[in-house]
Amino acid sequence: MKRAFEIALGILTAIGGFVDIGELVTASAAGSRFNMTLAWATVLALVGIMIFAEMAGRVAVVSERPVFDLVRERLGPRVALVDLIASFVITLVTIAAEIGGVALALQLASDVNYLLWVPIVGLLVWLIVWRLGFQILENGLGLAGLSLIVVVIAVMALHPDWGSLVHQTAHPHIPADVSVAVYFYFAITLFGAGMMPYEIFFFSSGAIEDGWKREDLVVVRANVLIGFPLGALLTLGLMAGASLVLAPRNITVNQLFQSALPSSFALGRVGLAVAIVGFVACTLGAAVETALSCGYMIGQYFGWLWGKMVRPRDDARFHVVLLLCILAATLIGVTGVDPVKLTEYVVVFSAAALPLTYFPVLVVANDPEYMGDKRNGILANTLGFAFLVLVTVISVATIPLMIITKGGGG
Amino acid sequence: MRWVAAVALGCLVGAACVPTTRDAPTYEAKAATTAEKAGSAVASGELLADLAAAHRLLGPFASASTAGAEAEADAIRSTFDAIQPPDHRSEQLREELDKLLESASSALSEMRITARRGQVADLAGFRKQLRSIGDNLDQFQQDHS
Repeated sequence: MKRAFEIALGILTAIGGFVDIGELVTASAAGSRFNMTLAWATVLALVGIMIFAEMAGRVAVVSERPVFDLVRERLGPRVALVDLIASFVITLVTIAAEIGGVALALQLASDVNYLLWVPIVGLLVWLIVWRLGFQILENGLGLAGLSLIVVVIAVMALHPDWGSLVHQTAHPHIPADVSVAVYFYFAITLFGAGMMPYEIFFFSSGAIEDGWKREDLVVVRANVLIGFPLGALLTLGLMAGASLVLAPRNITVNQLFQSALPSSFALGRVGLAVAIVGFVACTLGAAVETALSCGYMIGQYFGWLWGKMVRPRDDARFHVVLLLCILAATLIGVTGVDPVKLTEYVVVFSAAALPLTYFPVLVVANDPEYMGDKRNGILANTLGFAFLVLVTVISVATIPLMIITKGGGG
Repeated sequence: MRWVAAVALGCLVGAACVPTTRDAPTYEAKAATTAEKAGSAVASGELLADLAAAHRLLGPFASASTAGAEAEADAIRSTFDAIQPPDHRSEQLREELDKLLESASSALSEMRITARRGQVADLAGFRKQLRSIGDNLDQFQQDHS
């Protein structure tokens, strides 16, 4: 049982990273508009995040120091500061989107306007990061997030033509009524959502919070191999459900309630209730993950004591950062900005900033001074470099694509 | 002279605030896209009605969802209505589509009221009406694409 809980970090990181408010809507939107022909973007993101999460986790457990700390030391404070500013701003806005996402999910359960839920959710997120220990937090939110497996069960209950779904996935094509730019814009949003920078910081910092050492490398890899594919599976489940239930009815998804309709259609009220619980759990997990990531980044860059393994009175600056970030995110949320749109923009801008996160990880993971005999091998370097080239191309293309397609609407 | 320049600048800024299209074909294409988007909101309402008929909806979800579909239809309508039709034929097109958009908003609004009263099972009664509106929107889109 203890071993089972050891993969909770990977599950929480992946569910928070893959299945946040933006992905809940974007994956369903992709399924309703393109069927499974964009599944490759999620699979590609899965491979990319697994490669870099393994690297970051390995760096953390071998050096017993967090990635951001090493990035600052290895690349110098100026380069690390650019990385810090880009990652921090993107992650801060993501907290706002996720808090709004929890509120939207609670609106579906209560019919109380989401804006009334935003401050309550902000308070809840702060209480969780303030009061709960890291293991309770990762186990509780990771397990609750697993309730979203209902979207996969719903797909199975629909008895789809599996051959057709697999064929669509394996033979991607651009539908006749969709422009190339719109198709690739959606591909980038799915890819970017799976490779959000905070996943790397959270996973590597979480490895230190969990007290993993060099001998726990196998646990790191188990987390990567089980947790992240699970997050991607949930994304593909959302996509497939939308493809089977919403696409035939010409429903284009742009609101959260539409993402729950396939579960309701396939499994009735129970399926709907579990899906809503899953939405709340995943978005809450993402909100907590992003909030902690902001604290981790700042704490590690400035060399403070940080983390949940230290008592709040001993790392007061870390907790002040957390409080201020959650407060700022809540204030953004109560302005009434659409959390779904906000996440879409965050994903696009984070896609533009991906090389800033992944390049330093690749550099540090190759440094024999930190990594000794556990530095990257040929396979990790080849794949890592290939993905670095890919994310660089994406980072150049993403904002022009957003403008050309009017955010995917054109 | 300065005030003339200020008035001219004001007119330019004012004109820029009114979404417009250069020509009738562009306006017609936007009308077709609007009908397609509104069709999606109506189809969401129709699916909700189907789920209500099959007792597969929860009360608060039904209420929040119908409100969401209504808000989407209203937003689509107000966005289209803000576009300046370039000629007389486009004005007629606008009137034709506006009637369809109004009927969509109205039906979804009635659904929301019914759901908020807790009469979730009664949502099934909107199926026929929504299907008819959806068919009309689909026909409009095909005619003008």
